[in-house]
Amino acid sequence: MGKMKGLKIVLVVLAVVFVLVVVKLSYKNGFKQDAANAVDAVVNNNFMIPVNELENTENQFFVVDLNESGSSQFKNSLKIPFEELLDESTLQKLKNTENKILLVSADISMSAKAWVILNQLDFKNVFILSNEENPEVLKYKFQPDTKARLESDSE
Amino acid sequence: MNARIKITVLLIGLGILLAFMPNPSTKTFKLKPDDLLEKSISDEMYFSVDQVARFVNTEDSTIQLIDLRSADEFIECNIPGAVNIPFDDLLNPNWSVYFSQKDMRIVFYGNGDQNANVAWTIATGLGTENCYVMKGGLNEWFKTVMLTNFEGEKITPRENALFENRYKARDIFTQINSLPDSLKTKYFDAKRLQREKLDGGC
Repeated sequence: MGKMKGLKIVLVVLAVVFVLVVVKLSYKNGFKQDAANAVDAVVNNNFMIPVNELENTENQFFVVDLNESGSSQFKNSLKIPFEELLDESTLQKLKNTENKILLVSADISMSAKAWVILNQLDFKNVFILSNEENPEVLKYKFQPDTKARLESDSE
Repeated sequence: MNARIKITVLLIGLGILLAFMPNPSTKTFKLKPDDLLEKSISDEMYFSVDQVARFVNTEDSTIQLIDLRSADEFIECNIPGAVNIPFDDLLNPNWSVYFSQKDMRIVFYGNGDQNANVAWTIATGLGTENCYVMKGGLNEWFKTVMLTNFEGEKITPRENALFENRYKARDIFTQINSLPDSLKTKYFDAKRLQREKLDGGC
């Protein structure tokens, strides 16, 4: 009887731990991807397309215009305001397309944020359109103040 | 014998549970998609370069600037007070000391807007609170702060305050970034040690 009681206690503990693990694993907030995937894509430049490379390849993309107002520069684009990005109908359209998805907006900040969200929701082949070849280039050169330089540089 | 059976059952059970646990090295977003989108839409995630200039001038200790550019770009010039976390190293656990301070406001910047906004979205998605972006990046900083020049006959008090703020930040930026590289490195190390001391480090 005592032996069975001890074994029961062990089994109860295991069952409680098992339930806690199942509860934690079953909580899904929709995001499936590893954040490192997003970082790698940006580092390897696998997520941005400069506008000058878009010529003649526009038809390969399902263009999503995130701007709230104004007409799109692309003929066959789908206008989806940024705040409606996660609507069920929007996500269904994005899932149904066989083309690569191109996010377009007047401000690259908006496209960049939308791209991360879709990337982490496990949408593949999503890109953002950039008006510049490399939007992360510093356009200015810093000129040090030579009057501030010391006579000897202590190494 | 009974103790052995109990321990065996316990260990086998824990082993099975561990086998089905998710990989702790993967980092998935903790925020819900709708919550992340709501934060992304808000303009409150941005600081203007004038606001950052004020933080620099007042040495606001509640602000931590994060420079996402490469180490070479950082050493050439950076906003005083910034810490260099290259974008490709963003998820390195060694930087967690900067992202775990709940009383600090973290402000990302790059040369433009792209990387800073991606970093903000990732950090916020992973659960880091109080993240912001310096709108326009260093390009906007140069355009607005470094190259600021009042042209006109009369200046309003508001404009005067604005330009004073920019001029002071420009001077600080120029002084710090004009230091020889060795002194710059010492300055950055001193700032980093100061930060670690505030965190209770050695």
